[in-house]
Amino acid sequence: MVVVVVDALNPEQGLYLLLQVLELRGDVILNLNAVDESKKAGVNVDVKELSKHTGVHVVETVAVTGEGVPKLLDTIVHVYETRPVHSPVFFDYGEKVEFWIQKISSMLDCSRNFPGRWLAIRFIEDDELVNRVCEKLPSIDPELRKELSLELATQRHKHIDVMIREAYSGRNTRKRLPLDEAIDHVLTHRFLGIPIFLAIIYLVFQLTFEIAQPLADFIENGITHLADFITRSLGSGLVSSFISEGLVEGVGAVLVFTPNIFLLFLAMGILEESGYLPRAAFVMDRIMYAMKLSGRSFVSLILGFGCNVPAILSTRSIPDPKERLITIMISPFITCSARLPVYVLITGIFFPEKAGTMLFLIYTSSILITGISALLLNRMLFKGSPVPLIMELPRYRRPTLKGLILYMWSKGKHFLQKAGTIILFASMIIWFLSTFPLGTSMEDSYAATLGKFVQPLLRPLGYDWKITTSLIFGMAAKEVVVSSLANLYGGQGKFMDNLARELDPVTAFSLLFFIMAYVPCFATLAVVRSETGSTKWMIFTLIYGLAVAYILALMVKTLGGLLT
Amino acid sequence: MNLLMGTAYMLLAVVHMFKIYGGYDLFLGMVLLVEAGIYFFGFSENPAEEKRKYAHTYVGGIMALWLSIYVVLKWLINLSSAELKLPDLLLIPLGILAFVIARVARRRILS
Repeated sequence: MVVVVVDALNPEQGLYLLLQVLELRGDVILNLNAVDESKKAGVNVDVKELSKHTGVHVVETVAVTGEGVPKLLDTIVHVYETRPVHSPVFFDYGEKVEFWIQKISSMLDCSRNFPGRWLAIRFIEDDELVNRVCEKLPSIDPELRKELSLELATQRHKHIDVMIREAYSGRNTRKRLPLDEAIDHVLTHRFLGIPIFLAIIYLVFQLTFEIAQPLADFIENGITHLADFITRSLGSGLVSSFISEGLVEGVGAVLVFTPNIFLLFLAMGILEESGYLPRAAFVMDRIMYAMKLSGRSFVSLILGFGCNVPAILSTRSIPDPKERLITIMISPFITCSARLPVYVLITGIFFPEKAGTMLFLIYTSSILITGISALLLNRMLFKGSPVPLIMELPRYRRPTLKGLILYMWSKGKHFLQKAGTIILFASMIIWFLSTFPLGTSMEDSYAATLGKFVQPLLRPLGYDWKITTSLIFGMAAKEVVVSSLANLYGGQGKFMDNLARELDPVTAFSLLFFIMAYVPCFATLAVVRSETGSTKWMIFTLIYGLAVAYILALMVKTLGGLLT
Repeated sequence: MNLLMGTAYMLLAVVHMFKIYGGYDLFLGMVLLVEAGIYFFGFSENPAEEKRKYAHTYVGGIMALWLSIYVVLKWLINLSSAELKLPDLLLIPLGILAFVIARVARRRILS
């Protein structure tokens, strides 16, 4: 069963999809969403008439308020339980197209059990799926194929026009949302669009740091007190050290940044729910095109600010395989929320007065590195131009409190889940490695042995074995860098002072760049492998990231050393 | 109005970017420059396209309000340690004024 969700106010695209689905199967429900907005705009929809034209159940909903959702669920159950005969709907595409559909249908030799007529239509429309499921494909003049494809689209649009004419009223007289157009005129302005986007992002990061800081400080104090309480209660034995230093301080060092993460997602939620983010993609399309990518890639990359894993998964919507591969490989450069705690920690210690600005610099640098990498990889590996971006800009909406809280929670809970799983586990391991062998100082611990083994590679960057060990553990999840630093630099309450003493601001700044670009976390690498279907690209992503991180950090360290 | 507001924000941008009256914040200065740009481009729109001019006034006003909210929030959070400098202080009434003008522009766009 398929539920096709259609925007009640702008139904053309959705109805086009419905017609395509109906060509494949009949067990379809048409969900007409945002009916509140269509009513507000003076547009009324005759649901019965629409149902008569399409032959399927039509249910009206308002997703943001939940209105009509129970009815939609009832309809889904009803259609599933009654199991009516679900044969595909045949639309008459005219004599010539129908002749070719029949002819191609008889010539196709396909292994999968799809309707022959549907496969023939997909073949005419040059769908890759047909190549995958059919062994024998007919040869057809490309010009004829183009002509037939055009005719198919024209006929579908004619059907849609009839449907809308008979089921919709008040559509021709409605106001054309002049306020939306006015806002778009400025936000997507040729010269102003990109500066406005950068200004908004700057304010978002300022707020992420400034507003969240008192809350973060409050949590930090709480964790320090809890660790002290445990040490006082249990004494100074191994168990006490494990609980207070290993678990509470290790996980706590990361949990401190919960307000920053949630505030960042709140801001992203406002931008997305208000309808601004698609405009940002539209505005950035020009720049992306120069990098041989499109606004579609930008939409995926924007998701990467939350987490690189869904960003890579979302590249499935990019039709061009080369553009998709490039987007997958550059996605890890986009600063995910896991890296935010590390940035906030380091900027807070070394650049307290300008922490928000430093965050903005790091984020814009990550966008810049992503762009340069796209250009470089395109030059090195592929040739050709990207597919132009065609997108329907959604209407501007006032974000609802409920919607924003849901958005913030759905994105932010991942961080809390990680704190209770990967970070907790990593904190235990780090505590073990930094405590054992028993009776030795930390300088002779297993963690020190591991760090000192790799450290010569990072010595030109000025990183000691503690930072090296933290970076190694950060490969599991970037937040682990924070808990590792907390553990190796003396625990909550002390580690920030120790870090400030042992590291100079230039090395700290270069560390920010290294963390921004170095090896993506294991989950991201796994998704790169599954989405590209190749270990080769996963290894390439890993090595390329490491190389970029090293070069960037070295440049920052050298230039910073010269300037200070 | 676009010219007036644009000039006001341009002056504040210069103040922030060039350490005048103790209001040094290069990046905030650049944001203010963008804000001024919104108004200036509105001023340079074709006089026949009145609604486009109002569009700039409207968007500029909304952004100005956000900027003043940002300044107030920042000040409230750092209440114990930070004083409100004159260039930041000016952003608050200017933002409110810009928002009031934006409401008028909104009505003109919808009329």
